[in-house]
Amino acid sequence: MARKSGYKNRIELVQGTLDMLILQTLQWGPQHGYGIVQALHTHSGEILHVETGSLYPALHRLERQGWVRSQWRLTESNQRARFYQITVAGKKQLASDHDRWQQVVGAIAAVMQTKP
Amino acid sequence: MRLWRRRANDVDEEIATHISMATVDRIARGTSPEEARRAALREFGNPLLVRETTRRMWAAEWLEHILQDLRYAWRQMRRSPAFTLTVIATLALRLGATLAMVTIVENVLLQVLPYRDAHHLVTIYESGRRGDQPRVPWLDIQQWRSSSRSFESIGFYQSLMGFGKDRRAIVVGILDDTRQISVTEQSVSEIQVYFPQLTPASGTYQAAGSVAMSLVLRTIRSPSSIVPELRAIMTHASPELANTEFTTMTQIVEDAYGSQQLVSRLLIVFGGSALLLCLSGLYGLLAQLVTREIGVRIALGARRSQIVYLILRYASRLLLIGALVGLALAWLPTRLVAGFLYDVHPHDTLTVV
Repeated sequence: MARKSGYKNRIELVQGTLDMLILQTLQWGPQHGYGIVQALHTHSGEILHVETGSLYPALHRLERQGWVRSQWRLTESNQRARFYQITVAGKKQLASDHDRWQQVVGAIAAVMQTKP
Repeated sequence: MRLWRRRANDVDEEIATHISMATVDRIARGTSPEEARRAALREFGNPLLVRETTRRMWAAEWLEHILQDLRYAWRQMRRSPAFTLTVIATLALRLGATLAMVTIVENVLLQVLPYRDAHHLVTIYESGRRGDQPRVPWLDIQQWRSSSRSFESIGFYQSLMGFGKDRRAIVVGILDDTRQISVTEQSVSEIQVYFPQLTPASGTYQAAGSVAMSLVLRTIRSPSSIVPELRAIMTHASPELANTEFTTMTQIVEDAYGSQQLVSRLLIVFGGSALLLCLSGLYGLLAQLVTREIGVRIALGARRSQIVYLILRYASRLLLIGALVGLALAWLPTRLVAGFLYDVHPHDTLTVV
């Protein structure tokens, strides 16, 4: 799929960051899958677009880990949707993911800024 | 299972919700309903694939896979019973024949000696200068022992007939019967007694004096490399034993069975290549059968790994059934053969497998 031209100008997610991004999105309140995609799109300055093929497996994986919990509810527009909510364990996981992410970013930046 | 079924249906509904939300959003932004739905579907990607990968996150899926697999196998076999039967019969006959052959050959001709590391045994046949058979003096043996590190142990053996009447000894172990003369004849009732720890002080050694005792030793490395060394040591220590003959067990076995072994090894090679031939034939058949199916499955969104897995499962299922039937078939000839060959047990098939 990545070979199709339409996908080329999208920035691929760094491996392993999707879980962190989803948990971060859910920090702002319970959300359904479509809402998560939209939120990530908006908050990334319209750069990130999560593929559904990655999003839903990730959500269900997170639920199985006990980091999120899901529930069918009605949206504001009266549509039934499965809402995901972050759990206490999920918040802990998010904090540790975030720490690791900052370490990685710092390390990469340090390497890239080293002058030859 | 029911809980999980609900979960699986949930995923479908979740996907439908996602698509309808995306459609509604687009309509709200002024796209025509049809165009909105098309765009939403396009953006979503492959719903089947999403569903499959999502469901895979839940453990019980393997159960469904197995059930699905069994149902599929049953349908496939019923759809082409002739093909299935042919494949199974071919495999069964081929495997059964090869297995039976290997079992018999292995038992009768290749594993003739029931001892540990039989190829490390060397017998020593003493003969003096005048062609007589002098007894190896004990001191000599001791000297051999101290000057060579290449054998593990040395011992005597003697036919029980030569064993004195009034002698007593402690039996420390009894070995299996073994074929002595040829494959089809039963062993002559002859008992060889081995004295692994004979010392000059023991009465047996002294009593056996009048009868020739044979020597056998167990080497540490392959005997062929050691024999020259042994010969040097022994002739140095006991010059009167001029014509000492070293015969390795392997050599003895080869003298007795050599030609038969060669033929049987060839048989195994031919049997093996026939098996390969048969497998490649089956491969061709199978490949032709599944080519179209692969196309259909790719069109339906199956991934490469799924297809490989599918074909492997199909082939291994046939192989398994074929092998089981083959095993049963192999049991029969081995049983028959056991009737006219000495010391072959039908259940040896299992040890080969």
